[in-house]
Amino acid sequence: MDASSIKSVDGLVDACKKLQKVNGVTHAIAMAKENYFAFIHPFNWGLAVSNDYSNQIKQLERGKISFSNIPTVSQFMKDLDKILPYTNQALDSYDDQISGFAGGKYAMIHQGDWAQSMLDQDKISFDYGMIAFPTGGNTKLSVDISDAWRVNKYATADQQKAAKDFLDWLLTSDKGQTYCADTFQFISSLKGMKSSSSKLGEIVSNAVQSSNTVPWVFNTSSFPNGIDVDGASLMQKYYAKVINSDEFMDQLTQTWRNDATK
Amino acid sequence: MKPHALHKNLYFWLFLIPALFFFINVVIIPFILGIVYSFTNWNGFQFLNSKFIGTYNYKQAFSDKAFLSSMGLTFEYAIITVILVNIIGFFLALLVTRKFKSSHALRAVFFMPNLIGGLLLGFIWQFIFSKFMVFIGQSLKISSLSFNWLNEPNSAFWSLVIVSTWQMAGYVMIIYIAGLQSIPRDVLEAAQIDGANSMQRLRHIVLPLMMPSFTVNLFIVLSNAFKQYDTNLSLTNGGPYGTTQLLAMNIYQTAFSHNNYAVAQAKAVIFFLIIMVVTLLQVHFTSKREVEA
Repeated sequence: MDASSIKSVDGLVDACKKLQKVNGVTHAIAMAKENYFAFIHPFNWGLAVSNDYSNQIKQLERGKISFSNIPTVSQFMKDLDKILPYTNQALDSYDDQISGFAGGKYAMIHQGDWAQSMLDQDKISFDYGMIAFPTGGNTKLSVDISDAWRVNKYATADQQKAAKDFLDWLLTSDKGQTYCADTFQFISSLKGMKSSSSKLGEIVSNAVQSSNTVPWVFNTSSFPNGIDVDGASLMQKYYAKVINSDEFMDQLTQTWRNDATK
Repeated sequence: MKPHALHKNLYFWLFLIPALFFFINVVIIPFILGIVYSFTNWNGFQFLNSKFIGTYNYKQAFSDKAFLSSMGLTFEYAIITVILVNIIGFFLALLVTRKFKSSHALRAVFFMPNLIGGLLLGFIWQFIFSKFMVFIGQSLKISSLSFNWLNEPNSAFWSLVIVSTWQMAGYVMIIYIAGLQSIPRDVLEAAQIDGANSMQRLRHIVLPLMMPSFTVNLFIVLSNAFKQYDTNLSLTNGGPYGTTQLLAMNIYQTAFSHNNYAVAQAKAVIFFLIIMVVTLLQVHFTSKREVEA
């Protein structure tokens, strides 16, 4: 299957139909059930491909609009409706999702380059890679900074200098860069730095180098505290077909406003 | 004071002070602080700039739908668990106090689930309810059983009840055994001579004399059921879309996921008051029915 031919959700649905006919595949797409994997990462697509997400979220929190009024979110939910019959309804744990992928039960999984170490443990014999979720024709991977290191301004002057020296060594020296790229599998954030050598890491690095990415909206302070728990709960209801995508967007709007006003 | 009396007093305090020190620091002081914090807008970190805001947090807590539904669910869960655990524990105790060869070994076997911590128990049973049930159902071709019990709200609730019952039945069985063995033999023999069969002996002699054991067991199971968290976390983690979220889990999430420490503290105070009232009522009513032989 040529992954680069999947440029729209309809193309994805066609691919799912073909893949489900393959021997051993139980579901074409698998999501994991943990909060971040079931809700935060997938739902991020709806907001990340919008070019005005922080304003839209602010308006939503002030009660002026709801999620169904945000075109990219409503498009994302329609896309999710289309692929829903081919998913595992986010009923598997992270472990089961990865081992299912390695064992050929799931043709595609919604994950990131952090899953590389688990995939390596499963000794995969086939070729695999990453594509972006093609909501509304999107082809950009969602990449962002997952953690940041700060020098403590309350430390002594010597300690602060030592910390800065360490960071310089980590990013510029050969040994430091080897640690970053090979041991930690970090994607390089600066030009000229060695980047992760893993299979998935290389794909992400290329996307970053060519600026072919969309951000992690949940990384900004736009997502309210507690939405990972509440949103995941609603997402599971949606997957279990207890509520449909319109009800999901309404209830999520209510819950979001609730969590944001605490 | 005489030297001997002073000596005794000294040892009394020497043994008491370490335990009292820990108790005051780990239980009493945080408890009082918690009640104070629940009336302020404490942000969970520095208390320095928190303002006194009266009962605002309590109003927030009572208007939180998830809190109220967790409360209802916890009451349901506690009542069902108390009844099941005590019935099963009592019958197990009756069984192992009969005179047969393996009665002592059976006592150990029935008690063992209690030794496994709730968290580990949840993980083991999670495997059983999700993968093993599907396997059994498919092998025996019983389609009504072969689904993942943790994916439906109803069966997830009952799997939580089953695991708690499995864990606590052995513990209450031990207390019932002690209670059964303390019934004076002559009263039972006198009743037997007078013509009472075993059911009548059970109803009119054994049960009334066992009331102290009932008081203790009902209290223990009731307070443990209300405080249930670790098995809830590892077995269902709030279950399919938040339908098996018990009170302790709701309070934990309000504090650490929603970052709402002051409201969580208010919920915790309400939680304490509920458990205190329920268990005090229970002990009062069952103590009144205790009789002497």
